[in-house]
Amino acid sequence: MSERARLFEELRRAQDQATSAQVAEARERLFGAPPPRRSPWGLALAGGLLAALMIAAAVWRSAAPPAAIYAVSGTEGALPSAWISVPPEAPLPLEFSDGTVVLAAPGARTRVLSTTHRGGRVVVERGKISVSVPPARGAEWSFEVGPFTVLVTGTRFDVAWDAPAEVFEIEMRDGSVKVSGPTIVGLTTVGAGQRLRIALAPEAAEAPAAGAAPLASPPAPLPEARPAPAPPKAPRPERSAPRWPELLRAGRYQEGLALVPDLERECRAASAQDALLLADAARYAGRKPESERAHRIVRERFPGAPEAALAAFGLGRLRFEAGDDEVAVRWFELYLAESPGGLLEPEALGRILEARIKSGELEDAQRVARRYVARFPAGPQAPAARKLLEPRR
Amino acid sequence: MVERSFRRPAEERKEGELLLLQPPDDELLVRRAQAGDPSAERMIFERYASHVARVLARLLGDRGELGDLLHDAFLVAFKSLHKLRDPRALRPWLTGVAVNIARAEVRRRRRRRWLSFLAPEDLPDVPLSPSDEGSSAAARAVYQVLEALPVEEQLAFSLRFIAELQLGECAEALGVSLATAKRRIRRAEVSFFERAQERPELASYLAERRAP
Repeated sequence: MSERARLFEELRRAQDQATSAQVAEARERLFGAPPPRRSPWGLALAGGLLAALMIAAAVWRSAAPPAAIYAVSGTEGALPSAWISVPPEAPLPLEFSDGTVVLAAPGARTRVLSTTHRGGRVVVERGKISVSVPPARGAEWSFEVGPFTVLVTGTRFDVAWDAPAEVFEIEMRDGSVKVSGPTIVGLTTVGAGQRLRIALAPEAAEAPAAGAAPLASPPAPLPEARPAPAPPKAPRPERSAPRWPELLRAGRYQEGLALVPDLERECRAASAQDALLLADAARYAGRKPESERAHRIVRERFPGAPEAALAAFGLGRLRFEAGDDEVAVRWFELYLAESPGGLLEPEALGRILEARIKSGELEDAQRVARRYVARFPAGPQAPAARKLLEPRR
Repeated sequence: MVERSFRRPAEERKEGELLLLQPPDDELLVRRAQAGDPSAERMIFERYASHVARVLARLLGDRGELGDLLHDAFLVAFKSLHKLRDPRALRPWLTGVAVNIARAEVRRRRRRRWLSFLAPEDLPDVPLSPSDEGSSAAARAVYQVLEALPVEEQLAFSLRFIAELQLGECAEALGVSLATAKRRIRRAEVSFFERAQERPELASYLAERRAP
């Protein structure tokens, strides 16, 4: 780096350290309420006072606008969400705040019909989705896949509806689901390792479609059993080629990443949001080591910024997925410290709880469970946390 | 194109409802904000506040009034969002709003300084690490030198060399043609480094320019 470049680099670094407080100030003035914050002393109070505070905190949190950067809810009742047509280049992950992930395969068309505090309804018009629902008592997820309905409480599975061939296929990886639909009397249960294939058209029942691929093991992007026919393309006006941020924001991860020859270098030059976008895209594309480096660059370059906290969460998630629970917990704790009341708090705390339960450290797990129940008494992990806190004989 | 679901306004959401964690694209956000959805404005702010704050900091160099200016920038942006013809161009459009806010602020400061006979040395410090006195002085000197340039040259130089915008982005943010932006940046670059040579705080950074 030249001396002149170093001068401006030092300027930028110092300025970046200074902006987050100003952003918070402007946020408060523009939108009134500050992002919800945890009470640092709330946990220290006992008995009825604690319960009263919890209720008050819950009311306050529900009244305050969310501080999320990446948050879009599904819609309900008369306001159904938009259809999501997944582009042919890359799968599109839909992540929910209870930890549920729906990975829609390229070419799939899906829609989040509704969400509640227990789960949601997802419609798949065509194509394949890979679903992971964390086990939780009372969870109610349903997936309407073509004419079939899959009822889920907590499990991982792949399900597809090949609309032209009228073939429904589900393959279980963990847990079990109940399926209803044509040719099924009542509900049928499909358990771990089982696969159910129902062809409604006679010719499809006799011979699978050419090029049909069995449902493989996700979460890697999966080929479709039969690609849905592309809709007729209308001629488009000439416009300049989109840049990678636009492509990544549109969920076209592979295409966007293809325009980034050196991901780390790009992260060092991009804005905080764009660098985080790159880091997440690399994760969705399965380029986890690069994703980890990119998240670290975000933290290096934008200390104190909201994106740095989100990068901490991303790093925790990457380490959690890699089975490195101890390191994951540290990153999640860092996220919680840097983003008090942040939208991903339930997920971060939930994963810390899961890691502690897995490690068998009862005292640690109970401590986290108490924290979780205090913060999210109706959260998806609350039943498991309460069970952990039950007196043992 | 990927269609996206969208968060309903807070008052329509049920308590405890799960959130689908996916970013809507700018086009959808802008259209919702133009239709009066306050949650879309909030999301635009969350997505671009850091960017706008950085542009303002690069252009003005200090943080004393940055919170106010950032607030003003988004207030102006939300009021004039209906003028944004291409919703996909939200980011460069917001950059342009930030430049306009910074331009007004630079002019206001110059008027104020002229009225109160303040010397450039009386400008507030650029916030830098307290442990780095040397670079703090250098940063202050950079903005003092920039203050001596014509306003438009100051903005052009800051966008190109401090904010590191591409030439096309500079032109768009300044609201001028590419050729004009290039000329302005070139003039500013020459003026800046001529004046900077006279500042001892910048000597170590400019040493390479003196070398044969």
